[in-house]
Amino acid sequence: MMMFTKPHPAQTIRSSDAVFEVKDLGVAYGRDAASVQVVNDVSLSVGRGEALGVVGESGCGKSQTMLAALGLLPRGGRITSGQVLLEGRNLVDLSPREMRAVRGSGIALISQDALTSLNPAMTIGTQMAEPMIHYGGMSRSAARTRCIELLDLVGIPGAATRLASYPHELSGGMRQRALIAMAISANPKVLIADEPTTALDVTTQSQILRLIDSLRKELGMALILITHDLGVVAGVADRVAVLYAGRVVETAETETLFASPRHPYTKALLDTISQLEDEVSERLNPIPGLPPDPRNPVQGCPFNPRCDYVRDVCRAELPALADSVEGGRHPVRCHVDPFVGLSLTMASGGAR
Amino acid sequence: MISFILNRALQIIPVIIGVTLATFLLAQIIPGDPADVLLGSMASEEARQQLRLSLGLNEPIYVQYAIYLKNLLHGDLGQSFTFAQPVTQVIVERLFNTSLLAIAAIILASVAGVAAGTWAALKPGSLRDQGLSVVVLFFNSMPSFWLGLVLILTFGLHLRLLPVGGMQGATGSSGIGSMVAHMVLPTITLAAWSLAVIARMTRSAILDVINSDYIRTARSRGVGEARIVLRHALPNAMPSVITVIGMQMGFLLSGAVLTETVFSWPGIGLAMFQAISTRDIPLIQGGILVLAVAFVLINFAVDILYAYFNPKVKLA
Repeated sequence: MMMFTKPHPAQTIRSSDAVFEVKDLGVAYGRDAASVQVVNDVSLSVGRGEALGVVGESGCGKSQTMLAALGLLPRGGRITSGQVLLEGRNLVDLSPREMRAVRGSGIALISQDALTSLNPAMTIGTQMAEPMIHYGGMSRSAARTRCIELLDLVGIPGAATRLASYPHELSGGMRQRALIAMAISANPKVLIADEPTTALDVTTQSQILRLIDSLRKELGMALILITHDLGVVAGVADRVAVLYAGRVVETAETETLFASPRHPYTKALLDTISQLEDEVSERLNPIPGLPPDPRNPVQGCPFNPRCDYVRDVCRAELPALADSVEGGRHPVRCHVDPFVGLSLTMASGGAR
Repeated sequence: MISFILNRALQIIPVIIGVTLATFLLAQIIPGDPADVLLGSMASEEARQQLRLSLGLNEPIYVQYAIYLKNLLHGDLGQSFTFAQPVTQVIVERLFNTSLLAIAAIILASVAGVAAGTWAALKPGSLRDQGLSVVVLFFNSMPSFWLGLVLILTFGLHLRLLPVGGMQGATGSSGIGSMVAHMVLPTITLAAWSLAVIARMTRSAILDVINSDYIRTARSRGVGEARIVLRHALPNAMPSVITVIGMQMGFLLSGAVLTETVFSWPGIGLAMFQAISTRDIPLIQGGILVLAVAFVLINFAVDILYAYFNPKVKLA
């Protein structure tokens, strides 16, 4: 069966196989002159049962892309261009009513902080069962059975008694599990996990990641794992898209990306995790500087003020997302592409 | 929950003792001899002394307070000379009418206030939201007696739709229908100020919670906007709204004085107004005591409701 085998990576990039696709998506806040573009030309795709990691610092547009895909942009936000395709159907054109039906059963979301993501005034059982009863046409008893089944599935002990608990009565890990159970309750085709482990301690983090990964395989869902931490992506994702300043700057299969990153930003992100894993005593090597403020876009390549390999062309022109080396399987948005063939000396004139 | 209720109940006791002390001192602070007031300036010295003895006015002040408390426990609040009746009887007869008006007003203010606030919060900054702000400001800035007079002029005198006074009470000969008709204008007058405060509070409380992560979670699972507002946002906004409603109930009791006067509503408020005009000290004392105790009990009830809506409060 398809869902238990990892699809061949080369196939997943072709859009015909993609269960979920974002094409040339743009997101902006505000109107006219005051408008701020936070996502630009973002294209992502994920196949059935595949896991895509979306990586970048805070404010790079990861969550905005996903909220736009769900039609849940906060007030003031709007989609300015592009398409969001779920099994070939463009969600951007749907009416609010049609979009509501897609949420939960088509695309589901796991948010980062389970304490604030669960309604504090409702028991776990009530909030879990709500869409099943009121939108799925289930009877109360059937919904209850299904909730117990789901809580069992995500590894919450004593599921039947937990239904009557309020969120604040559960531990952080249990809350995150309950949130996952809620997300998968309508058998979504695509599961978006937005920093699902950020609020948890390290041991719980790996348990939750393993749970999400095993559910993906078991239920044949496509998974989009949003994180700022490449280490989280490493064990789970088949492919990774790196976002910077609202644009995709590099996409590749996970092993390729880790073995031969081609964008200086990806390289810098990888440096931050290897430091953490190798030597605790060594000084942390964060990427110098901050991501650009979307209200003051950087001329040229948005990474140029922080880049070690910067050249004049980087300050003048935005590079295109292109792959000149690996036949479309490893596109990168960089003029310099320093990790393929180019030596560091050739990329002189660097900032350091 | 039970220990929570007991705990709150114990906290009420010192407050009530304070209230009795305040009402007792009220009579002491007011200049003039109560015997003069009761008997008039033409009474003989002998009669005055007699009355002083019988009222215990020659005793030291703490003994007088003890006597006052003892009488209070026996339900004796003194004699109202305006009504020529015991104060307790005056108050008990009118308590029903005042409660009726206050309860009708708080229900109107709460239901309409929460609905209006919620409705405005759904589209912040929209025309209807700004419209509500204007109405809130208007209701909050005009005195209730003025609104009462305007309503009387409009609906009573010009349109002749509703009676403007002369309520007989539920036990009166004219029956329930007449009583309801008599209630409409005073209820609106009394409710207006609270309605505005409750609407404003509801609006801001809903705006506080509507951008919460759990609202996004519910939306991401396909829950529709009507349920988002009614089942997710409103219950989480309720604790702060209930606090305000509780405070408003207290204000309604005092607001009843003006409203009852304008509409000649036979309640405690009207009696208080008459007592104040005629310096009927025992009735003023009794009225204040009853209103203050009612205020305390309402707050007690609000605390319990608050715990019900916010499960985390019980732990504290």
